[in-house]
Amino acid sequence: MDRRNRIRFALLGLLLLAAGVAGLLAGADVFEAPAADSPVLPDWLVARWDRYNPWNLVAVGIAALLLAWYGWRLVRAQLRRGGGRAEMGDLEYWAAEPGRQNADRGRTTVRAAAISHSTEKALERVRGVERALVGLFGSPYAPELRARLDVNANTDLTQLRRNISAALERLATTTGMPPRSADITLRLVERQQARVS
Amino acid sequence: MRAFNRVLSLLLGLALLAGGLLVAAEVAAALLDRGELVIPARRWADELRATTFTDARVVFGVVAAVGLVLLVAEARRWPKQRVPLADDQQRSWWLLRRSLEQHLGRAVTTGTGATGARARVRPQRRRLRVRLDADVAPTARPAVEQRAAQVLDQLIGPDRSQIRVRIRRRERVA
Repeated sequence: MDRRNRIRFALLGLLLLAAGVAGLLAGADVFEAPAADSPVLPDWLVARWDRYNPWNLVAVGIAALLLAWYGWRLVRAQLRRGGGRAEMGDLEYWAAEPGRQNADRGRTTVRAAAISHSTEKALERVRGVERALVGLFGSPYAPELRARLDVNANTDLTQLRRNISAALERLATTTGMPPRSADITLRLVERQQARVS
Repeated sequence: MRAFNRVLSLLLGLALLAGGLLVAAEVAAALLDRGELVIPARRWADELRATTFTDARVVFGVVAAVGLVLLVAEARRWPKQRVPLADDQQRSWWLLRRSLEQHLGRAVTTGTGATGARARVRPQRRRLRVRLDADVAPTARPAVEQRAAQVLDQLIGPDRSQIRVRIRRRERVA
């Protein structure tokens, strides 16, 4: 999402710069047309606009609705966790082959939020991890895991990585859903309080 | 800058959402001959027809300046937020750069005679470029370098031990 925002505002900046420079050049009479003393909204454009009435209004209305929809998507993307990735759906276990019996019989559903919370708890039990934030994205059967862990700054990070890997593998065995990929970011923090192990 | 971009995107999104719906409502009102609701489109059009390019030079200048600032801010290189730690199988490990900088600063301050040590870390391919600003006597410079290298070796690993540490001595501490 950061990259998209960056590209979006670079393009917007380029557009504003081009429009501003073009207006300044026209105002300085650099171009033959439009002349510096010609109006910003010329009469020929107004005449053409009026000629297409009411379809011009319909086109503007559709464009406005499309812009509103784009704005809504933009707002939603900024507020969503995981940089705009699709959040993982619930995990479902089937007791019988789907299609052979009633598909709803013997079905167990595990909420995606429950899996990410249990992953957080499992990671917080690893020695050296003070706080864990976990996001699961994509397919529930091969999710993409993104974790942000606050870790004690004096912890041996090599050992910590081994312990976290072991915790994730245990979790994958329990749930039967090995993460397709895991992106783990560590933040070094000073130890806040003594932990009882 | 990332947080700024996110807030700006949020504001842009809200403006497009509200503006788009408002314009759509204005269009619907115009098609039903209900007149203008909020936007005085006729008056704005008349003003634009009466304004020449020369009159609007200040506006164009401001638009160009805003565009230039935005373009330069987005196009320049931003320091990476995360330092790569390792990649094993399907797992990528990262360290938050700012937390590493803070930890390095603290470690140098507590482990040597330096005071007010501040670190700046810039990941470059497989290596890290580290700059340390500290108030320290010239004789303590090797100790500070050693301490920083020791902390980095411990955190990042021995394969990344060829790290350049520069110290900028601001003043001599008695």
